Amino acid sequence: MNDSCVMANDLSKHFLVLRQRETAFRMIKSFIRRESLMRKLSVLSHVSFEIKRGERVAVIGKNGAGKTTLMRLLAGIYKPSGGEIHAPVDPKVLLNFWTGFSLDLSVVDNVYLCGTIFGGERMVLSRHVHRILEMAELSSVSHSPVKRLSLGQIQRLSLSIFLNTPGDFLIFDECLAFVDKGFLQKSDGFINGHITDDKTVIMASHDGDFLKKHCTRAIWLDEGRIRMDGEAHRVISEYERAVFEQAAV
Amino acid sequence: MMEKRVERPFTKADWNSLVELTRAQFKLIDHNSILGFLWSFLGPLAMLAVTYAIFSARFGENIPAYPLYLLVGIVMVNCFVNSTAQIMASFYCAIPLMINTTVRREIILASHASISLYKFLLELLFCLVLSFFYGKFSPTMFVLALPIVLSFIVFILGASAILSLANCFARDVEHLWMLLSRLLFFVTPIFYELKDISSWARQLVYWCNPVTPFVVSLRGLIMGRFDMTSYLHSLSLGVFFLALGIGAFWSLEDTAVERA
Repeated sequence: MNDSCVMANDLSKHFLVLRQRETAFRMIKSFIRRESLMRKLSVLSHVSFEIKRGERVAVIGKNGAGKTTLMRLLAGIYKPSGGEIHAPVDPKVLLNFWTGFSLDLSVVDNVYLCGTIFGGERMVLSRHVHRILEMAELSSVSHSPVKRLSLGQIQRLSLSIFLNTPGDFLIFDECLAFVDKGFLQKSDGFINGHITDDKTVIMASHDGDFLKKHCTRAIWLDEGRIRMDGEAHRVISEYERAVFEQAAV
Repeated sequence: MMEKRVERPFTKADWNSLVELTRAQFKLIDHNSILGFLWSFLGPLAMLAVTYAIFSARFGENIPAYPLYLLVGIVMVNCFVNSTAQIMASFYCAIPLMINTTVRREIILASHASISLYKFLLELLFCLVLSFFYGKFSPTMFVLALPIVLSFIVFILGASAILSLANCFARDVEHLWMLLSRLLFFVTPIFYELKDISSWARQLVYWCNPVTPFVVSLRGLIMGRFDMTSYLHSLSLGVFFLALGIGAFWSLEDTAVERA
């Protein structure tokens, strides 16, 4: 239970952002003049932490603090600009609940499509389709195209597929923003029931109560650096207090 | 250090993703309409009718089975132009999928290529039927044509990979390519023979346009002729573009996706 699931050592990430819209002509001109069309934008700086197998970690911080970038780095989607990540287990990620859906295809087709993207197998998914649709409360519209669903319904579907496909290391980001209270309760129950102690979870959300309920540890990111790392209740409360104070000012 | 995703072995999960993404592409064309698919099939036939009507008197008199000659050229150039443009555009549209999931990017590229290549194979089948009709079909030539078809497909994939990356770095590449690819219909011997044009133009069309050797060799085989020079040239071009495409893709995909 105590072996490492992820270790980030002095992790940094910067992006090259455009000064102006890039065109082939401007690229050639900048190459000849040896002027860069880009400027460096640092998103994460010297972040170090270790997450043990079975830990449930909340990543909190203001918009633009670097939460999503950190998750993409941990998932291997981005390459670090500096430092290193040791991640022996491949994660299952849900960073955007609408990603992976093909809006013109039916809900059932999308269960297979998204389920496979999350690492599931068609044969296994076919046994779980009914349960996934029941959980998402979409059994009655299973053959409608996904584009006919509301944002909340798509989010429910996405979360239901995500939570019903196998994975020992889960990363999810801002996944409960549009769901109703009923589904939130159902997700609570599902997370408690299905995400067992041997699974490692990293989640980001602006819902402090949800994070306090499901996480044992929290990492507070502020302008790309770790401001606080520790017991979830304490870190989240500190973060909420800081946000509240800042809003009051 | 975390392994870069492209350096990871191709797993069963990757294969499953490729199958499902491709299945989704196929369902979408069927779902949209069978008529839509037929339209894309009728496109080359309509073009054949127009080019035949215009050029048969000027160029077609000395070319046996001129409609077949035209059709093979049209199908190949159409496939190259449509596939590269479609893959380039789809790759850019799939950036959210690439930055929010762990699906390998080459899988996304391959799944988008599947429809164009499937259509190409169907159109080639039609060419073979026409070749049979004209009495040009030969089983030996058919077997010899298979490596060229494969080479043409990998050539398209390699070129598309390079163009897709370039399009992430500069968004007008798509428009520039659209303009350039239109010229391919004139700088590829679709309705004329290489011997009909001047010596310098012939050199230019054959050596500066990578589609020409494929058209010359495959069309020759479908029409019952074998030309060793263009055959070997096509095979080496396929391998070269595939290697170039893979090399460029693996070294630039991260930067391209972050920049797009």
